Amino acid sequence: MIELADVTFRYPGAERPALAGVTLSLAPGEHVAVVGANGSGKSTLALLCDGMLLPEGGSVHVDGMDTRDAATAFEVRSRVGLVLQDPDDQIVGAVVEEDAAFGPENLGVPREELRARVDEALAAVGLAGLERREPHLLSEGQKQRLAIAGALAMRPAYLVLDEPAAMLDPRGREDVGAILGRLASGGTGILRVTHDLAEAAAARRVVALCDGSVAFDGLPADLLADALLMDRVGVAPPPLAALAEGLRLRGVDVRADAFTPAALLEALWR
Amino acid sequence: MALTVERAGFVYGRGTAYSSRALDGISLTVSPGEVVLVLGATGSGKSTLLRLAAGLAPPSEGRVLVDGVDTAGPDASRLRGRVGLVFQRPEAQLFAETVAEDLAFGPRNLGRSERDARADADEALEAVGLDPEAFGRRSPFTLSGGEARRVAIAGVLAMRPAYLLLDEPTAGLDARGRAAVLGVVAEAKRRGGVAVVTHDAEELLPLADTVLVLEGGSPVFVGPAAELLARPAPLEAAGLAVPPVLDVQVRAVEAGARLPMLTLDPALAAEILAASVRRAR
Repeated sequence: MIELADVTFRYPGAERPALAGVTLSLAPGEHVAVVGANGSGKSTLALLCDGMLLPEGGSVHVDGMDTRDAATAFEVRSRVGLVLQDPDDQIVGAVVEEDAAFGPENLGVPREELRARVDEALAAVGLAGLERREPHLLSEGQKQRLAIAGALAMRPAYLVLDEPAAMLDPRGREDVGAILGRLASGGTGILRVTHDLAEAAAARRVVALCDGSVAFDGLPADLLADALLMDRVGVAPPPLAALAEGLRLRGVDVRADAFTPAALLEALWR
Repeated sequence: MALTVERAGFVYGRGTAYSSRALDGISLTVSPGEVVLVLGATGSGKSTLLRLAAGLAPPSEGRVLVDGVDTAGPDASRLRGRVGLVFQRPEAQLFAETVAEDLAFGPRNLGRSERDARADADEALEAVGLDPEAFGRRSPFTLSGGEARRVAIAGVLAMRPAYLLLDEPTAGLDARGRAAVLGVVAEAKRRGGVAVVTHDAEELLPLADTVLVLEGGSPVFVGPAAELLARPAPLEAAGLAVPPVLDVQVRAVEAGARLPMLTLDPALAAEILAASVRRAR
């Protein structure tokens, strides 16, 4: 379990804290989306989960280990995989496979297993065949996939991703959504930062941050049904939700959790 | 007067073991007052096409003309400042101590006087909807994501390019930032020709006049945006999602519904679909 208890964090020199009084937990196998406007504290939250940033007030525990405890810092970071927003901040290898191997190699994973893990991680993100490609020759979307592969190859218990699909095309976004769904079903705890509510709806639980505090923590359908809250949090309802709302206003019986074109069509011709 | 790409192709690392073709046989015209949308999946050649259009790389085949001047020809230096390219995540390139300083950098390098450079900077900030008084003095590193993106676009607008090229201008921004950037695209269209590269058809299609859809470096659709809206199949062929609101209407038509038009506007789509259901009953 990753547990944030009353966490406050302030960047050096900043007037306002980036996070204030945030309490949140992520269990193994849980899939949580964190949404909010730019500057709401989403990325800060992600960086606090593996001890990359340490809380000023309150505490962060990973499976009972305090992230401030230097003695367990290595263990904490091998359990929490972190995928940063900008893949250029985290790609270090001279070629793709070397980069994906960097994490597990540092965990001391033996050579044969390393090969298997790297192949599996690259296949999972659709980069198989590009093992010897230099990262700077990859497109932005491919780099984003490589950053995810690097974290996957460490086989973390929890995976924290900061906008892992921001530069991906729609198919890439679907792929990432499917990968994360599979990992969650397999027992990995997933915390995914996004400001796309359509993506967030695929998670079982959504946390909305507003000015560094938790404004909502619950089911995606409940957030999508609250236009005032979405506006306050600074997230836009997905166009499909707006279409569903428009149909409801015109007397079509559309269920609150109809998030797909197929579900809307069914409602139309029921 | 136009920016024209004529049967252009591009090969990375030509003549080496890593040689790979990124573009093949692309033709495109961007006229003043027009928004051209280039859609394609990751690796389809979109960004490469913008690099060719901006004259950053000469095409391997074909040619690129800006107002009749070949970007790879002897007169190419005359084109300096004519075409402005806004890269992906352009805010990473902000560097000066204040926003005003950052924005004056481009026009100053084009040889404009200090006073003109400052005026260009202020005017560009207004064009992206930011108050020069309030924002000029700010450090670029204290801006929100949406503000920083707009300042970075203003940095290119300050050079007063006749053609503005934008690579994924809304990626990574929140709802407010995206809405603001869409406003900037609409404003840029009043000032010159605009080409926008994206894999998100949904937001930018309503602003586009002409659309080019790329797949593996080749065109699968070139034509008016309205034509693509009416028959969005090329989007799927290119590995892109049909915007969900449009998808509902396409499927409704396939199921036998008669819709007067297809639209990306959710409210209008709701009205049309609800009316069609009522008629059917």
